[in-house]
Amino acid sequence: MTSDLAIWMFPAAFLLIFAGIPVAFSLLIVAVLFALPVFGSLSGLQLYQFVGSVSSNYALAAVPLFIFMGAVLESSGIGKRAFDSLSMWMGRLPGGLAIATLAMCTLFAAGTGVVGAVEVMTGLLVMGPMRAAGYSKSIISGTICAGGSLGTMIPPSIVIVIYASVAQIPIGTLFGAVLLPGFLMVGLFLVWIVIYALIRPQSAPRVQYGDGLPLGKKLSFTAYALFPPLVLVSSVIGSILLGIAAVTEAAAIGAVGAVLLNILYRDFSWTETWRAAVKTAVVSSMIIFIALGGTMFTSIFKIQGGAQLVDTVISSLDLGPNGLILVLLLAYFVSGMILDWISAVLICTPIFLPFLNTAGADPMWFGVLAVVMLQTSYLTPPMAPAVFYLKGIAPSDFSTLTMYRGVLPFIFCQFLTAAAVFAFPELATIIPELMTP
Amino acid sequence: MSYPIRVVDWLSRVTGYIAAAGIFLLISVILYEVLARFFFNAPTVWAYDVSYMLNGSVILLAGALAMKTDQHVVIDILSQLFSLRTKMIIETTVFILLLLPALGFLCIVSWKQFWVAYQSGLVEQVSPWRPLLWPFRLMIAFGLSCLWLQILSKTLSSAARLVGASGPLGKDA
Repeated sequence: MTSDLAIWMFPAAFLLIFAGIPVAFSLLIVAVLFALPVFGSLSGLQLYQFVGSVSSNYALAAVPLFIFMGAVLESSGIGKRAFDSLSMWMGRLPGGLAIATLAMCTLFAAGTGVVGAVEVMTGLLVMGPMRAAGYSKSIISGTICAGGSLGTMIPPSIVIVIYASVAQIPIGTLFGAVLLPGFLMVGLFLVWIVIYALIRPQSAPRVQYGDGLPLGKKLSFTAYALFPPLVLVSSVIGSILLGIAAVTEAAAIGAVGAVLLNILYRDFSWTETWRAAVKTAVVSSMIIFIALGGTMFTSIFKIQGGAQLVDTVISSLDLGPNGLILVLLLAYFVSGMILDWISAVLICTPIFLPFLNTAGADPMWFGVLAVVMLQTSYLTPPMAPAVFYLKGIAPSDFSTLTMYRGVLPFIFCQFLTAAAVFAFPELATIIPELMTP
Repeated sequence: MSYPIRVVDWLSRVTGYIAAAGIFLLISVILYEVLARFFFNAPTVWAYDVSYMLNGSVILLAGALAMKTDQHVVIDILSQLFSLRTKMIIETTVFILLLLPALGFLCIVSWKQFWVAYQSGLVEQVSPWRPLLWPFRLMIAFGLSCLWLQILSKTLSSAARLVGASGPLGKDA
């Protein structure tokens, strides 16, 4: 009988979400409404437990710390110096500025976790130089969107922190698992850029930045621009992967390190740092409130008998283990497209977890695939957040269609990465295996 | 803007700023623990509990400011097709009939839970430090209530604009 109610939870939530009610509140409302018939007078206590468990989750403390680290790095001149020095070395390659952009994004994805922020910063930074050099609009759009989306994949990503804590797998291990697939993806992006630049040299010309400079000057500027942020990023990720520090501790060190870098570069200002802290508090609150609503929603859904419901549907499809995994991944992709990634992770993951056992899938491997799917959905038209962010900062002669065309090859690279991880699970499992002593 | 609305806006800003200050505190506490453990081999018993309580408080206290600055994620695939007036009518109705009662219910429960913890001197059982639970529960109740007030204030001002009591529609959407 009770599972009859569970059927209505998703339509009710989606009705509110699509009516324009904030996602966190939509989930919360539905959770409270559907808790009442089951728990009656005990509903309050039951729901309060979810508030307690989400707000007292030690691992989630890494979320504001990584966001703060990212916000501080964004407000500094570190990105600009990194891009300047990278383009000095890489500019002369085919598609050199696009390569330099991706290299900077890989470094910075590691520095920040919130996807839109990296993209906007990168876009503002590289749009001018790339246009001046004569790069085509589509390759500019594709590079910025794809580079910005790396924040989902390359550690320390907030998506991974949230996914791991919902799926109850160690965050550090999942960071290790996405490392190789992440670099594979960056590699594929670079291959595409070089191919494009070789076929259409006039659309992605080589540039000669800093040719007049003596080699010693170039080297010292590069050391000055790249070495300190590299040390920061690699020590944060390294200490997590080597198991020296807990993820939350590494995040706190990263946050302090980012402020220290600003002081070192004389970029530090109290106003900017304070602004970063306020922004961090607000953005983390937004994320954790979705976590709160999502946890309540899926828990009540399961208690209402939703788990059996999904089970019945899935087993009636009669898929093999691989088919099952593909269906679950498709669900991540679709919900990532229509919702935001936080809601997608929080709604899908708790409901899907039991099926991983059924399919005999490694949760780490599946986690990597799910994260790639979420990242891909972030780029995929027609509702690509990446394109919307880009529209916000692009000159008006960039049409949406051009942006979509630019993004498509990168989406293909992402699916290729997913296919590679699917076919060779070792890509995801080899580093976590090395990590366990 | 009427006086109560200004008070609530002020409250949201202040709690948001306290939350921002809490981030610095959170960083300091974790850093202290790391230094104490690595360099002085003297891990604290309290850092773990203090960090998660600080984090939880920061998140709940900043909820109201996030609401005030419209930072809570909205999926506008469909709702962007509606007119501003329709959007406001839907939002105000849902807030009055569903969100305010549901969140208000949680607020009442969280104040009760705070009171239970305060009266009985409840301590965290799983932690070796065994901290008192009521300060953290107070933060949960207070943070949720500020959010509730901010939502109420937003709902009332939307309702006032809908019936045309103050200012034309769409002036500051």
